[in-house]
Parts: sequence; structure tokens; C-alpha cells
Amino acid sequence: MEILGYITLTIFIGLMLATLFGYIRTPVQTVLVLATVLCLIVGGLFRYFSSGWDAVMLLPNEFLGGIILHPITALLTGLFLAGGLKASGGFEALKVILRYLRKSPIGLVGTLVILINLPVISSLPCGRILAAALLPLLFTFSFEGGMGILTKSQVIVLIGAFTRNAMGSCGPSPIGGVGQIGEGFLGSFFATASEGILRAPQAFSLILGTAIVALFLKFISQRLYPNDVALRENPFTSGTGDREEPEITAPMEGYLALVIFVASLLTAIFQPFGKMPVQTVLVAGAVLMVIVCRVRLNNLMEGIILLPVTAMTAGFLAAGALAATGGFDALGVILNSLVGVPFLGVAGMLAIFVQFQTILPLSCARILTAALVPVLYLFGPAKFGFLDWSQLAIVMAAYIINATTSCGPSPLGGGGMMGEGTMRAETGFIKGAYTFASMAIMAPLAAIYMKFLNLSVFQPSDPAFVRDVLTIAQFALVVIVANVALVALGARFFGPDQSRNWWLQTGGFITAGGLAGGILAFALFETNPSAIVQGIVGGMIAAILIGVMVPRFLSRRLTATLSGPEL
Amino acid sequence: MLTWLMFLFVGAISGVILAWALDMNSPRELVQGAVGGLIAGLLMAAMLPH
Repeated sequence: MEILGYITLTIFIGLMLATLFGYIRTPVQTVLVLATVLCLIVGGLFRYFSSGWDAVMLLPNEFLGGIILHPITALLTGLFLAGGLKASGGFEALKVILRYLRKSPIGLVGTLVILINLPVISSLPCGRILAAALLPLLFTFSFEGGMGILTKSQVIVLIGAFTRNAMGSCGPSPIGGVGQIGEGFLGSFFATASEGILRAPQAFSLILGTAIVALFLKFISQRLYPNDVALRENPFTSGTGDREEPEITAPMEGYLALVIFVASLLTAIFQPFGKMPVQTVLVAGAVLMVIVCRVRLNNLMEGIILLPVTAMTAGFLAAGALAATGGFDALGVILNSLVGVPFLGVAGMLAIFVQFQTILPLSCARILTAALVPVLYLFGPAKFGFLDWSQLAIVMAAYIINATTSCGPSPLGGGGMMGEGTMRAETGFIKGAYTFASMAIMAPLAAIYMKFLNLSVFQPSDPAFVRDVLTIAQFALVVIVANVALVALGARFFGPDQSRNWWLQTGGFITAGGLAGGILAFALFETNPSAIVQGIVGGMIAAILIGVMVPRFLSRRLTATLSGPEL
Repeated sequence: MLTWLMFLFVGAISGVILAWALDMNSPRELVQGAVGGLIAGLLMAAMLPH
């Protein structure tokens, strides 16, 4: 049975890598279904020859038992409601509100900061919903978009940071978010975990990570790929526009839909009318929208974006097949063996594990999250016992934010490509910024937030869980100062040689990865020096794997693609 | 209460960094960025379970 697990795991990882590197050019969902079928066939044959028909007949039940329906239905109803918001002009109403905000004392910059963080505040089940609605609005700030209020560099930073925030906002979403997969498992110990034990650590680190993405795009990406954004500078002015701002109006139904949407979201989160599934609340909101805003059922159905739904379903299918054929047991054994490697240990292995989805970014985070969270769960008291429940929650926080942001830099139709398209950039332009922030900022800060505040919020009766906001603030400042220095000062060493610049960037990745691994180890094992060293080593190994995946050249790749033979 | 405090803190820092990254470096713009971040942090904290 153990050999079967290694075979199915090899099939799964092999197919995923082949898709990522472009050897298989079909949607990743199709590849996952193929992996599922292959694993089941191999598993069926193996069981037939080793244990007979009875064992084969048990396989479908074991496979289907691994599929968790709650996040899938929550995602569907969330998208359903967002469809109503879009159809009734709710996003237009949002644009009008933002326009008034710009004329308030917080000015343009304050409005842009709110706008960039709007996705995480609204926490929709898929970042693509808000990105599709608001990216055209952000583009209008550029010269080519009509208003010409911002320079090319400012537009790149604005669109890149907004898209980063959007493509991480599905993690803390209470309506079918990626984090709910992890919360389901943590519910084995933390009774109220499903109320959102992973939400605050994710949101906290995403807000800071978004700011670092903005800096990275300004100082590093624009220097590393200077000719890979086709946006033009405003030839008339630089900075302040001299053009008429296009008039934005919204129908009354749009405002009503926005009110119903926010009310539904708040009801789903805070449950003021007693406990009920989020799906019920969202469907009730959608029905209200149909009655009040005269939205048709078709409009609601149009809001359902199939990619995240099919991605999650395909991910669960693959996860179910791997679980039934011993693939996760094999992965657990492999990771278990890493624990015995000198200078890695448990802390080093976990420092690599939490970065796994940024190393292997797929079009939707749910695919691998559905497959790998069960493995992470096994590291806890349920099987291997590397971690106690609180440590498992800390690692889960770091893992989930890293995972949920992984659709941003994915070249396989990831959400970040929407931003790249809007800013007229080559595919891969944002990858360095997005992966750097996920690795260096978000994972360690989510762990620190979970350890020093959130555990005590969800288990207040346990005196072992401390509330120490000063420590969180200190860690946040250290991480921010270190990474701002790395980005802003590191860019000063950039020269005309693009290859040398890329190596410098990779060096920055390794340094930041080591720091992130060390902080994660501290969050888990406190001041144990060997664990911190192991965490640093693990973090550096993960950073090398992430850093070398960032493209060195973009324009040459385009030329090669267009010229044909090189392809 | 502590959750609110942390999100106001992180929002303000994020707002200042975003303003700097957007080439809006005057003291007034940095303060506006911080205020925008405070509002974002406040709204985010309001959406979280306490």
C-alpha cells in the first residue's frame, strides 16, 4: 500500500509540474481530473491484485468521502450574490462613493489607499469579482484611460497593489473563502474555529503585504523589466491631470443592492439572528435583491465565475483520490523524512511547507489547499504529533495566507494576469513582487498575529494563550523595516546588466526567506536556537525555489514566442 | 479592542508605505495616506470576529 501512495503522489506532482512549466497546455482543472482518474485506476488495479475485489469496491466510497461540500456551496452562493450586485449597478454605486471620497479631506492618496484595500475589506469569495469590476476604473486614472491623473509608474503601482490585495482577499472571506478549508480542520480542537479563526491573521498580513508589493513594483520590478509595460506617460503633464473626469452615475437599484450586499455580508459574519449557514444568508440576500432591485435570476447566475468553483471541485477530487490511494500518507512520510535532515528538522520542514503553494502557484489556490491542508493536519496531534493544536493553528495561519495569495503570481491563468493585462504588462511582470510579499511578509506575520493575539480571542479560557499586541507591533515593524530596506536599498545596486539585477533580486529573496523562516520558527518554538536556525535554513531553501521561478527576462520571452521557432 | 488597535496600526503603516510607493511624498500626502489606511484598517477590523 505504501508503494501505491508514492506512485499516485508522483502522478499528481508530475502532472502539476508539467502543467506549470507548459509541457501540458490544458486547463489545470482538466489535468486534475486526469490525475484523479489515473490515481483511481492505479489504485483499483493495485488493490485488485493485493486484496481482491472487495478492496476495489471500497475505493469509490473512500474517494468521495474526501470531498467537502461546505466551501463549494458557500463559494457558489457568494458568487451568486455578487452577480446580483453587478447586474443591478452596485459596482457603479461604489464608484460614485469613491468619487465623493476623493473630494474629501483624505484626498486622492487617501482614497487610493482605501481603494487598494477594498478587496480585503469586502472579502468576496473570489478576488476576480471585484478585480473585474474595478480594474477598468483604475485604468481610467492613466493617460490612456482618459483622466491622466497618475503617471505610468503610479498606475503600475496602483493596479499591481490592488490586484495583489484582490488575489489574497478570497482567503479571509467568510463566504466560501480559502481559509475555511483550514478552519474546518482546526474545528477539531477550537470549537469556534469556523467563525473565522484564520481571518484576522490573513487580513493583517495581507494589508502589510500589499504595501510591500507596491514598493517592490516601484523599486524593483520597473527596473528589472523597464521595457515590459506598454502604458504611455501623459505627454501633457506629469502627475496632475488636465482632462475632464468622465461622469459616473449609478441607478437607485445599485445603491439598494449595495446595502443588501453589505447587510448580507455582515449577517453572514456576525450571525445576529442566531446560528445559520452562510449559504442560507446569502441566498436570502439574493432573493431580496431579486425582489427589491428587480434583478433576474439569470443575472445572479451570470455572477458565478466557473474557474474558482471548478478549481476547488477538481482540487477536492484529486485530494480524495490521493487520500484513498495513500498519496497523502506518502507525502507525510517524505516530509517526515525531511525532519531527519541535518539543519532542517521540524522547523525547517515547516518553513518550506508553508511556502509550498507560492513555489508551485496554480490558477486557483483552492486546488492545492484542498489537497495539502489534510497533510498539514496530520503533522498535528491527529497523526505525526510534530505540533500541538496551538502550533498547528499558527502554521495553518502562515500556510493559508501564503496559499491563498498564490493565484496572483500564477502564469496558468492566475488572477494577477488580470492586473498585468490592465497595466499592459508582459506576463510575469508582477511575479517577483507578489511572491516576495507572500513569502517574506505575509506568512511570518500571520503566524505572529495568530500566536500573540488570535489564539486567545478564540480560546479565551486557556491561560497559555497570550495577548501581546506590543510584540506583534514590534515584529511587524522589524519585518517591514527589514524588507523596505532590502527593496529600497537593494534597488540602488541595480545596473544596466539585467542578468546581474536578477541575481541581486534572488539574493534579496534568500535573505528575506531566511528571516521569514526564522520568525515562523520563533512563533512555533519560541527562543529555541536550533529551531530558529532550522527555520532560517528551511526559509532560505524555499526562497531559492521561489526566487529562481521569477522570470529573468520578459521582452525576450515575448520575442521568442512571436518568432515561432524558439517556442 | 486589541484587534481594532492592531488593524488601525497596520492600516496606518500600510497607508504611508502605499503613499510613498505612489510617489506622493509630501508630508500632507503621507498623512492623507495614513488616514486612508486608518479608515481601511477600521473597516477591516469591523468585519472580523472578535
